[in-house]
Amino acid sequence: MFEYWSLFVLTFAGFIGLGFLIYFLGNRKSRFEERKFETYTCGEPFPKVHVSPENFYVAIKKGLGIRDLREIHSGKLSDYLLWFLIGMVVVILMVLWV
Amino acid sequence: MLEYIISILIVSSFLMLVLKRDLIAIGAILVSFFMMVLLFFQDQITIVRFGGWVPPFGIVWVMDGLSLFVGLLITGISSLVAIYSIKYIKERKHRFYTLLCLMTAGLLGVCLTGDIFNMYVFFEILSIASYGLVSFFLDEDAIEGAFKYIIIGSFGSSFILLGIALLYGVTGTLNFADLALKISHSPVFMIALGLIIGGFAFKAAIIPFHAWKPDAIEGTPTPIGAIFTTSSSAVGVYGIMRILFVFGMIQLNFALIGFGVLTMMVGALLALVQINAKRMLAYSSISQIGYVVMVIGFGTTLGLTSGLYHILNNALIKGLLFMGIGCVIYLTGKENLDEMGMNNTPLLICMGIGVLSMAGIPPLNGFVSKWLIFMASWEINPILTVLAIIASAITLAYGFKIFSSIFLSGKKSSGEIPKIMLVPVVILTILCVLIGIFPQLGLNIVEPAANALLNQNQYITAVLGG
Repeated sequence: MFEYWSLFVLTFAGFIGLGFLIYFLGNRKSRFEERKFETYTCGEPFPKVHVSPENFYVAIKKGLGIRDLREIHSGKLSDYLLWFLIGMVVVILMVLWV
Repeated sequence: MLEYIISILIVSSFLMLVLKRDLIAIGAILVSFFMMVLLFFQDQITIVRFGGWVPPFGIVWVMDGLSLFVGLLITGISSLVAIYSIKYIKERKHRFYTLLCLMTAGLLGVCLTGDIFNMYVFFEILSIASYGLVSFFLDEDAIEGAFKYIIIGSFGSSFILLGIALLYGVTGTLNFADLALKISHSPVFMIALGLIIGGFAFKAAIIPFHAWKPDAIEGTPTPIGAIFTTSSSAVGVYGIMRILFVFGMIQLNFALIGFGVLTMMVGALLALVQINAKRMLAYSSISQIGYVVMVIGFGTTLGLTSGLYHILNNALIKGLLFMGIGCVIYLTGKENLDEMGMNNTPLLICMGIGVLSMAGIPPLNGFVSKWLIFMASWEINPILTVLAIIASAITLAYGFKIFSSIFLSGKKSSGEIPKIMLVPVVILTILCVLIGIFPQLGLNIVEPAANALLNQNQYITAVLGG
C-alpha cells in the first residue's frame, strides 16, 4: 500500500505544484507595457465559431486507421457472423496447438 | 440461503406477470443483493446439493470467492437498475421487471452452479431475457439490435451446447470438479473447451465476437445497457476464467493476451468515433474488458487481482455513466452527442467523476485498477504497458467528448430529473470516490476471488469431499 499512496501523493503534489506555477506565472508583473489586441488570423478578425468536439480527434481518426475499422463495421449480420466463425476457428486452433 | 436467492428471483418474475406489481420485482432483487452481502461474511465455500444427491451425480451450487464476487456485482447493479427504472420506464413496466428478474436470475445462475449443463441452462435464461429487453421498446433500433443479438447469440449458445455434449461424451460427467479430475488432452476434449470458451467470449464481447453489443445496447432501455456492459460482460469473463482455471488451461495465456490487446485497442478507437452516446459506452465497455482479458492472460496473482479489480471498477463506472446518460435521454429524448446538451449541476459532477475515473485519473477508483494493470503488464512486457497507457489516453479523449457534448454545449434543458433516478447515480459516484481513496475496500472483495481462482484444489475438495 505504501507504493500506492506514494504515487497517489506524488500525483496530487504534482497537480497542486503545477496549479501554483500557472497561478504565479499568470499573476507576475510583466516588464512590458500591458496592451490588449483583438485576435487576428492572417490579418482578418477571428470569427466567432463553435468548434465541435469531433474536431479535436481528426488527427487521430486519420492516423490510426479508424476509417478502415469503421468500414468493416458495416452493420451487416452476415459479416458479423463471419467474424464470429473466424474467431471460433482461431480459438479452437489455439486450444489444439496448446 | 444460497438455494433461495435464485428461486426468489424466478418466482417473483412469474408473480410479476400475474399480479403486475413492480414492488415484487424490486423487492426480490434487493433481497437477493442483501443475501449475497450476508454470504460475503462466510469464510468457507458454500455448497448446496439438490435433492440430497451426492456430486458428481446431482446438481450442486457452489459459492467460492469468485462466484461470490461476481454475484455481489450482479445483484448490486441489478438493484440500482431496478430502483432507477421506477421512473425511467413508463410503459409495460411489469414486463420490464419480469425480464429484469429473469435476467438477474440467469446471470446469478451461471456463476453459482457447479454443473456445466446447468450453467448452459442459466445462460439460456439470461439470453432469452436479454433478447426480450433489447427489443423492449419495439422501435426500429430495438428490433434490429435484438434480431442481430438473437442470431449471433444462438450461434454462441449452440457452440457452448455442442462443447458440453462433446465433454460429456469424453468424460461421462458434467460436474466441474469431477471434470477437473478427468482432464484429457485428446483433440475432442480440447475442441470442446474451445467451443465453450468461444461461447463465453461472445457474452464478454471480446473482439471478434463483439459486433452484437453496440447494436443491442443502442436499442435497449438505457438502464439495461448498464447491465449489459457490467454484469453481462463480467459473467462472460467469469465463464472463461472458470473453464481455464478448472481445466488448468492457463497455457492459453498468449491467446488471451493477444485477444485482450486487440479488444482493448480496437474498442477504444471505435468508441472515439461514435456519435451515439450509448454506442460509445458500448465500445468503451468492450475496450475495458480487453484490459481484463489481457491481464488474466498473464496468469499471475497481480494480473488476476488487477483484472478482477477492473471488472469491479468498470461495473461501477459504466453503471454510473449509463444511468447518467439515461437521465439526459430522459430529459432531452436525444441519444446523439451533438443533440444531448443540458445543464444540471448534480449530474455534471457525477458524470465528470465518472469520466475521469474511466480514464484512470487519481484519486478515483479507475486509477487504482489501471495502476495495478500497468504494474502487472510491466512485469510481463513493457510494450503491453505502453499499449495500455495509449488506450487509457484514448479513453480520456472520448470521455471528454461525452462530457463536453452534454455539459459544455451551452444548451439548457427544461424539466427536472426525478430524484429516484439520481439516487443510483449518486451512490455509484460515492463508491467511485471511496474506492479510489481507500483501495483496500475493493481489494477486500477482489482478493478472495483471485485466491479462489488460484486454489482450484480447494474448490474440487469442497465439492467432491476429501
